[in-house]
Amino acid sequence: MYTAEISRDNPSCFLFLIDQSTSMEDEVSAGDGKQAKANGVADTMNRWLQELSIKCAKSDGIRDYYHVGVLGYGRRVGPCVNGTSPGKEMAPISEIAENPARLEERIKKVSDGVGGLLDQTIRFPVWLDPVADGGTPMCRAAGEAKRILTEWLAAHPDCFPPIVIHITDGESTDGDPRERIQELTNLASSDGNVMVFNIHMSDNPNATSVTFPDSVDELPDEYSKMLFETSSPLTPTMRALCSEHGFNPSETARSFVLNADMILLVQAIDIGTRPANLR
Amino acid sequence: MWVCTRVFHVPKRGNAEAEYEDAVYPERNLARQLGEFRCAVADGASESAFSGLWAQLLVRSFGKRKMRLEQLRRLFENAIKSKPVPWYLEKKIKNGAHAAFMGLLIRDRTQNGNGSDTEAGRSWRGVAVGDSCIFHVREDELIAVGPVTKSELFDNSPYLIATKAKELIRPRTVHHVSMMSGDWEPGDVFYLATDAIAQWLLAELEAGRPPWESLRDLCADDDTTLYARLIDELRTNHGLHNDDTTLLQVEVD
Repeated sequence: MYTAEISRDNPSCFLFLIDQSTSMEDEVSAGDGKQAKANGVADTMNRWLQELSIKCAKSDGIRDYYHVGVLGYGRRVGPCVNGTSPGKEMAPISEIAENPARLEERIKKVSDGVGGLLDQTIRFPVWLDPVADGGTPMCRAAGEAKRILTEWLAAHPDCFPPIVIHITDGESTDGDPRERIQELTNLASSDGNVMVFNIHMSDNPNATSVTFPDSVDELPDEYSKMLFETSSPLTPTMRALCSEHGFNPSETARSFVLNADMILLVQAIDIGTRPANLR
Repeated sequence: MWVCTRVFHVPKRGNAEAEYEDAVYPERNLARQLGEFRCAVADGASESAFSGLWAQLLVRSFGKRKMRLEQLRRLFENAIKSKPVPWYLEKKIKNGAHAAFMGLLIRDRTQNGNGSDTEAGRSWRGVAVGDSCIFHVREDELIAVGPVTKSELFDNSPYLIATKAKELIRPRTVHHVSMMSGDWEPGDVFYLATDAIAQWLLAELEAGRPPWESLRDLCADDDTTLYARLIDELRTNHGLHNDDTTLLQVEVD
């Protein structure tokens, strides 16, 4: 299981579920400073999409090793990156790469080779803008994700299993999402079940983060236990990546982090999405 | 010495021939009397753009005795800077291209000034970075292999020659250049192989199934589709990695 080759003939997919509720306006630790969670998530997603596009790029264009969907949930539930649309929530990475909402020009300092720095203009693609508006309809979002992945799996029955990255900062406002999220992990290709990676963000600088737990023992409340229980076990590849990032999860650890700041968010997304079987 | 070569290559399954990113020199089969012979294979890294071009530059410059890395890098930069590219290639190109490399130089200096033979004049030298390999075979016995010597030692992060000067060979520098040398005898066979087929050859040896006789038969057959069929069979039933797969046979006499 989890050994299928990822190729253009047999692509895999990532589906992001992103909490866009009003509380995502609150600030979270980001290195030396702070930034609104919604801004941090949008920045992280734009960089991630950029990196995946570059990873899949060859001299003759982008190879569609992956399809990607990003579903936001807050006042509305729906796709929120350019290149996807309602009814076509998953798009090949080439279509996403070719259709950023805009290309911003940013100045980057680079070495001039003789001890000084030069300003270099680079093009930075933006697909996703920060949104923090409304409640937290987690049940509806998980239901939409199930519909999207069921369709995708029907078209790609032998794929490396889809990975769902769920980023949230608060409790569901439309009911208990436990069953809905578990239904996602019941979906499967011939190579294994869909994996759900839950990343909980906290704006409380005193909150203790919990990384890749293997039991509910150290979790503070029912809400975090729900996220733990709906998170998939880490694969051996993910556990190896955890070690690269300085974590040491047990063999039964789940793909779940609680009270993440921006740094942990980026690490967790890397662990959940770094390709292992790309051909 | 009489040198006879056979070249075989198959792109990774699902890829077109134009997407093949290994490179081999000489590109065509050759049968010729020579005092010195150079050949090479290189394996452009899948994650780089234009790595096939880089692999080609490496093997051709080695084959033609023009191995000057700085010149090659400039040539590469100029070749890819010639046209505007989309944003994702702009960044990718900045990351450079990478390739594993295996070069072989075979010399025959047995005909000295007096016209007499000296055994010591039959020598070979190999230079490698990464996991493309050489196999030196005599009468169906393996005489030398390298730089990777066990099938279990292949992984997804070999050392590679980079187009960016600062990462001459990543992640460290010249410590990862492997130099090999030896003597040859008339009738010896050398195989240069990129990683997937090299790993399979080593695994066959480790399993007590020396592949040399069947490989010799395959190379001697006029049916040029045999190699592609063998690779397809190995990929389907024997776990051969789906990768560009290149084999160069060199017979010396």
